[in-house]
Amino acid sequence: MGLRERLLPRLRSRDDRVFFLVHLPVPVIVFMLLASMLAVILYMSLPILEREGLRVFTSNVWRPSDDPAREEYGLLAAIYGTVYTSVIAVLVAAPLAVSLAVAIEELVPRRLRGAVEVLVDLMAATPTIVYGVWGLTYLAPLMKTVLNTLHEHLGWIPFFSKPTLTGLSYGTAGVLLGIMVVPYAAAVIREAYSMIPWHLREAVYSVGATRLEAIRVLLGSVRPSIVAALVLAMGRAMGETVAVSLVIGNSLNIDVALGSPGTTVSSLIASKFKAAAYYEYMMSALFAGGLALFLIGLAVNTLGILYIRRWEEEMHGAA
Amino acid sequence: MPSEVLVVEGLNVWLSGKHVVKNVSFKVPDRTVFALMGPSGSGKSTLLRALNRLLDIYEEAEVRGRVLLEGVDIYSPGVDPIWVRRRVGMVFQHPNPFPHLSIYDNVAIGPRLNRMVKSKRELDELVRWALEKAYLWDEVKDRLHMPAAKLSGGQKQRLSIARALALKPRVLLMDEPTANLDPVATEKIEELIAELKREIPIILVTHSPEQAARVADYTAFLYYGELVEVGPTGKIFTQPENPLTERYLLRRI
Amino acid sequence: MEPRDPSLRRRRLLDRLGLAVLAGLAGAALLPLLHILYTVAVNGAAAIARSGLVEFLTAPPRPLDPENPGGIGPALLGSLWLIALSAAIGVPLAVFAGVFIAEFRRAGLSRLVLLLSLLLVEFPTILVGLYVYTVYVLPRQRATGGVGEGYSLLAGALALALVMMPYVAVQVSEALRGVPRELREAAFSLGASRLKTVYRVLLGVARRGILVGVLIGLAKAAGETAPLLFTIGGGFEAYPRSPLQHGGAVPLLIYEYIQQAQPGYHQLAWGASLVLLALVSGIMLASRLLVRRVRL
Ligand SMILES: Nc1ncnc2c1ncn2[C@@H]1O[C@H](COP(=O)(O)OP(=O)(O)OP(=O)(O)O)[C@@H](O)[C@H]1O
Ligand SMILES: [Mg+2]
Repeated sequence: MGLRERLLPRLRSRDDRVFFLVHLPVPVIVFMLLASMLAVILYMSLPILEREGLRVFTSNVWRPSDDPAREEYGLLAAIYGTVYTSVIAVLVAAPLAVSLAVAIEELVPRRLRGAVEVLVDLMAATPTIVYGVWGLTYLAPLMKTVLNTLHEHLGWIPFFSKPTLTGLSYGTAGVLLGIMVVPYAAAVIREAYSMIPWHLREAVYSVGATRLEAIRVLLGSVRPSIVAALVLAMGRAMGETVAVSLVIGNSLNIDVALGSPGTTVSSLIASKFKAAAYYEYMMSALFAGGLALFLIGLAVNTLGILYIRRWEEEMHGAA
Repeated sequence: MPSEVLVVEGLNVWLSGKHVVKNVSFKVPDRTVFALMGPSGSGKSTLLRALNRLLDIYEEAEVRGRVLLEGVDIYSPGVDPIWVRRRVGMVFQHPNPFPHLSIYDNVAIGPRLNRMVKSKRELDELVRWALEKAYLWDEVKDRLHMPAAKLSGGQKQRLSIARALALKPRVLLMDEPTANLDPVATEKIEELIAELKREIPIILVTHSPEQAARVADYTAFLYYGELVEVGPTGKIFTQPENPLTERYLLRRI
Repeated sequence: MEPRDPSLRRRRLLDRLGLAVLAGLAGAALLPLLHILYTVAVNGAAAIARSGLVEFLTAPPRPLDPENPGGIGPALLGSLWLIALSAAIGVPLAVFAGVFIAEFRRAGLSRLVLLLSLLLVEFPTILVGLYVYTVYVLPRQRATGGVGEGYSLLAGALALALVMMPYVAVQVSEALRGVPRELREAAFSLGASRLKTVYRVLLGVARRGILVGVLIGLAKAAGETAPLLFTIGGGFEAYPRSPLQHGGAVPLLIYEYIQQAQPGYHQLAWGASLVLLALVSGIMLASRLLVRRVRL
């Protein structure tokens, strides 16, 4: 079958052809939209890329100036912060999401299941700005206590090597993001878990597994879905803006200490955007940040897809 | 110790309130094949799942009656269902090795969960033993660490049998083990059953009277949850006492 | 033979322990949400009570006047404009796209569109904001002159429509796919053209799923902040008179006010959070009454 046959639908009548032609704008619009989004971001990043080259991604400076010749921008801290906070988020979310998914399927009595489902849906639908307000008001002070206590007792561990004055930090941002992405990850894992064939469940129990052992084996059989869920969660965490920008402290800072403030690409864009209009290159630098954000997201998703592919090949490919 | 490994006395099962197994009693002597026949929906699978307390994982199931495994009533209060399942192997209608585990791990899962072996070498030996018993060793010995999902249907079913055998069970339950297999694979499994019964009793659910005639020493006929007739296979087939049995054997029901 | 196997005791213990940990973690996953609901309810209700509900929903904010703090009227009006406009732009296009995806489901082109739509759903919303800023706000800014010009509610609505559209399109396509075969065949046997059959009959058959998709798409749009940062221009004191002018929105107001120092701002932000959360959870609950499972 040629590409043409595979790509285009089979149109058996004039009526079908009319129907297809009427809807032809759909693929055109979708392509153009995606292409123009990328083109715009790339185009707007060109000035800073031409000026600084890849250094804009690998250096950590933010030097606006009325004299364009002296302006200099580097996104490294923001890129680092995006990756760091979303990794923390996934580490926080993974056990919570897996437990939540399994608990709904295995532990929650049928009568209560509906109520828990509503809560999970609500958790996903709650506007991110509300998470941000809560994070700023309640989570940050709590994290301040936690991080400072950890620093006092375990300060030799690099992650706890710095105290925090305000609670606004990488750690707080990562935890808040983790909380926010739990429902998305849990939904994917739950869907997969509920699709495990009944006969596999019978098989585990028939060899004498306890409930916990059975859950462990069954979770193993949906590993690709768990990976997919975590990739999705990581993507969402990386793209999140307002909630993070409220709790991360917005400072260009590269540090593994969870207590130190930092920034992410999207919170950098959010916080510098207003000022950017007054400088020659700052706006372009922010768009370069957008480009980086897109590329990191693409990389994470590609790795996830590759992992799942390999798993599937291993399972079902030729022996 | 009685020569009957498994004794069922007045067993009743309800599923969601529906009386599916009705006051069933029978005995399975050691080293025999005991076939359970009956039309679709007559409760064969349900009855079989009552014998290793697998019905415990069905929320809607309720069981009454006694099932004595080597003299111990598996439904008496102090008995742990895991203790039971560890001694009763089960093979299902759908060949169901764990697709994400390797061939080796599929066989090893029971012994590992139940802490049956002390060393890797002991486990290797047990896995090999089970695979040999299941007539699978020669076909897979060079690819023990390949995922089980890649095996053929018949191989998968033999792997399921090896998984059950690795528990060194006292009884083997088989729920239509050949229903999803082609004739060649079916023949292989039947040979295997004949070989295995030299060591343990097997309860075999089957749809096919021919299969029962070929492999079973005893045959029971279940009809709408009631055990209509039970006896030596030869007798059931040649002089059935109950007209229902006869009609079933003639494929009228 | 001993049915009470001692080696089992440890496993049983481990089992119970593990399940307890699992349940604990699941509870911990829900705990923040419960605390959020609680704090938003308490703080929000207190803030709204100071002004009275009607005043809070209609009056402009006076964050520095503790006697008479006002409300979020202009921002709410802005949000309503945004929701209405983004729905007017986004929903028809999304339905159109959803029909394409569902009706040509076997064609590679349709699957490609579905894939790209799923990609767009995951596209960071802040980038959508930057995009609309570049293609719509910036040209108008250049045309009218000065920095700070060119922002409008319409620009925000465009951004929100872009955020919502792919999601709604996917939901519409799934709703259509869920139409039972017999019903589909019955619809086509009526003898009308395919366009009529799909738009008049099949969309009607799938209306619940479509409605839920649209509702949740709107709820998402209503709660979005990032795409508005560079598009609507803000301004929470004056009522927007036309969608072509700059304006505020509830999430943006919350974002700006919670960052201010004075408590008057914070109270308004909490009150606004309650309004927003009530709106979104109302939509969620309504959706759950319509269909068994909602996909977000
Ligand atoms: N979960 C359930 N709730 C209520 N009734 C059930 C349930 N599962 C099965 N049944 C009913 O119990 C009866 C026995 O089912 P069972 O699967 O044991 O029959 P079977 O003899 O194994 O049939 P087959 O030959 O088709 O495998 C059937 O009538 C079936 O409809
Ligand atoms: Mg059956």
